[in-house]
Amino acid sequence: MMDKKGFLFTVTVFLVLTYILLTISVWVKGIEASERTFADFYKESTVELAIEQITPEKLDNVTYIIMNRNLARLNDHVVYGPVRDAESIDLVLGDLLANGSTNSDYFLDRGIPDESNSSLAAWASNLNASLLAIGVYISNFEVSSFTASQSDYRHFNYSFNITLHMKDFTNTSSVSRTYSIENEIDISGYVDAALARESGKYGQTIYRQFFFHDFYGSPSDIEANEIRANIYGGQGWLYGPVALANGTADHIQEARNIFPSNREQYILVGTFDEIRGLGQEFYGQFGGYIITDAPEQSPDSCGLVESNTFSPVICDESQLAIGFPRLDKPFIVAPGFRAENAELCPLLDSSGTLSRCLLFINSYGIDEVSQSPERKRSAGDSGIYTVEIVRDYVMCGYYTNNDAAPSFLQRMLDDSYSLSSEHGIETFVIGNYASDAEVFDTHSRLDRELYHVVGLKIRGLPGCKNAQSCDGNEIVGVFALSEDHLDDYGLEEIACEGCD
Amino acid sequence: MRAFIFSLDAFIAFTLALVAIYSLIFFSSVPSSYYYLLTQGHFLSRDVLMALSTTECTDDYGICAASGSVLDNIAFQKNQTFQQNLIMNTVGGMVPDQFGYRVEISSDNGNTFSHIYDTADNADDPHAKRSSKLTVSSQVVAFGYSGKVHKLNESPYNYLSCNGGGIIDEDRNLIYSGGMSGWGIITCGILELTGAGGETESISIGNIHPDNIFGGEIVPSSDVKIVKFLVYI
Repeated sequence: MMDKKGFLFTVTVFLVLTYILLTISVWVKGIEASERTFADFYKESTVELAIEQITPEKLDNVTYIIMNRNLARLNDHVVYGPVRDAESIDLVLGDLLANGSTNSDYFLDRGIPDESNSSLAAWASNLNASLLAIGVYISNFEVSSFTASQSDYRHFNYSFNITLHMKDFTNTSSVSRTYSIENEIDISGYVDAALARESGKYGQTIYRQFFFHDFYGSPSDIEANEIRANIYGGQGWLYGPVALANGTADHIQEARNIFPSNREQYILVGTFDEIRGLGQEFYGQFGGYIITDAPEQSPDSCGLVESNTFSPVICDESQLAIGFPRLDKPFIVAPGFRAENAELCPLLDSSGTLSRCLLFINSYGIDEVSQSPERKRSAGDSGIYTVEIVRDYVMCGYYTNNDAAPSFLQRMLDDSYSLSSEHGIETFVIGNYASDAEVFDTHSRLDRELYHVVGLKIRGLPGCKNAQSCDGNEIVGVFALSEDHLDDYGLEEIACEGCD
Repeated sequence: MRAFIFSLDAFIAFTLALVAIYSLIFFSSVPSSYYYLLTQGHFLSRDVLMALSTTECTDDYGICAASGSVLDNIAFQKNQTFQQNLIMNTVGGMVPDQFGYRVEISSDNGNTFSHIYDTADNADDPHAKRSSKLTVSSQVVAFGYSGKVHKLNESPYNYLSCNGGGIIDEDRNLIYSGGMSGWGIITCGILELTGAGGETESISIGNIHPDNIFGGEIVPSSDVKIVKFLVYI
């Protein structure tokens, strides 16, 4: 019986030990399985993070940054070293995208300095380092079918294919993936390389940036407009803000509120009585006048004579003459004219306030009327104009599309201004940096004609606000445009040769 | 015989009790809680990097010296104080206080990493200062501009439709955008620029290379770095 008891005890202990060993085995297997599951999970999660870095969107973003930088770099470089030809632009930008460097043979003068950080090679190299955790790497990448172009005059377009070859570190598996990248860069804000290069040849380099406005899509959108008015006559011409002799109107001040030192720039608007009522000493301070009532006319031995107006045509010793009260400044007689019809314009002082500005032009100048008083009544070539659209285009430094002008990409080439494209762009250049009479004289202010073509002066535009300044006395130079392009910009009626 | 039966009964009862206690210990000791912590740390580090790389840097988060995401600004910011403030203002809010974290950046393809911020180094940071169980890390490539992009989309000069964006209505009426705070008048005016050495230069307002105004290139060079984020648990 004792033997049986010992046997049973041994069997039981054996069973318990077997159970313990089995459970330990299961425990270890469980840990292994768990490790494997979580290792796969982490690997998967890390792969997700890595894959996130090579999605088409991410690649698009990375290549946009590289292209934006390299385009700016190339655009700055071509001021001093233009690209040899249009085909080379593609090759240069393709190389810069891939490696951050390119062959200097693509340039006429000197090559562009290397910048390895701004390239796909730099990106791929760092991506490889971050992919170490998942045991794969980019063994190679290829950029193919690179094209640089313009779909419109305001944008630079690029497209290419990039193939990424990925391998694992054991070289047991590899995968290739090709991405088609296509994007565009707004050229606004880049410096105009052609103008900088061309101006540098003649002295001071002019740095202008490309700016566009939806409103100015072509030269025909930029024009001077005549304000409908019944014009009796007058003398001379003047551009400026208007002030009312009596009362105020929307954005128009009363004459008395104009600061004395500024009155010379203003055009005083009112009837003969309103203006004369201000006193000769006061109204004489203004730069010009719009008289809004018609003179009284009566026949005399010399012909028709006037009264109740400024500078009336009278009969003096059987000859027509200019009587009193006399104005020796520009004025126009436009019965019924309302100053509110003038366009808004900023007063270019530190106040930043708005007024209304206009340009009036008579058939004859002040001296011509003095010589032949009857010319005062000639209204054939007279008019009152709003030039604020043209002024806005000029003063904001905008570019517009003209297929006779060079495009953004063509401006990277030598002799850019001899080229033209459907995506051509042009601007006007005037300012104290382009006023040297020996260089600019009355040259057309169209950038592609700036140094070569003489133009007609344009009244009302910068440097030509009145007859005195338009003589070339303004520090900003004189705005002029070649006769060939007056029609493009609708400026024929306000252009002049002598402008006196 | 009765004694044998009694002994056998007691032995079997003891054995069953032993097996039951052992089984209880076995099943309660499977190390699952460790993995849950690891998972949490991993997701946290990954999500923090993802959030930083997909969030545009704005003044709400601190000083953004480079254009692009918060991650780009952490990676390419040259001012260490701004860099650390950005990290504290963004990562600090995403990581619970019971965890600590560290941000490292490599500029040499991951060969060496430099510490940018470590909660252990900042006594004022309420996050944990050291790892009590484990440390989890994730890393990502930051590719962006090394500075601010200053390429203007609108004319900065002063007239009707410019000055940072004026309006022209459908009836071709120019509506003034107000103010004279842009670059001034394109045709005249002189800007005095002071160089790094204190020298001054007079430049015509309408003829300024934008690099001179912004004190850097309008499109800065791009840069690439690896950002590693470690979470202490």
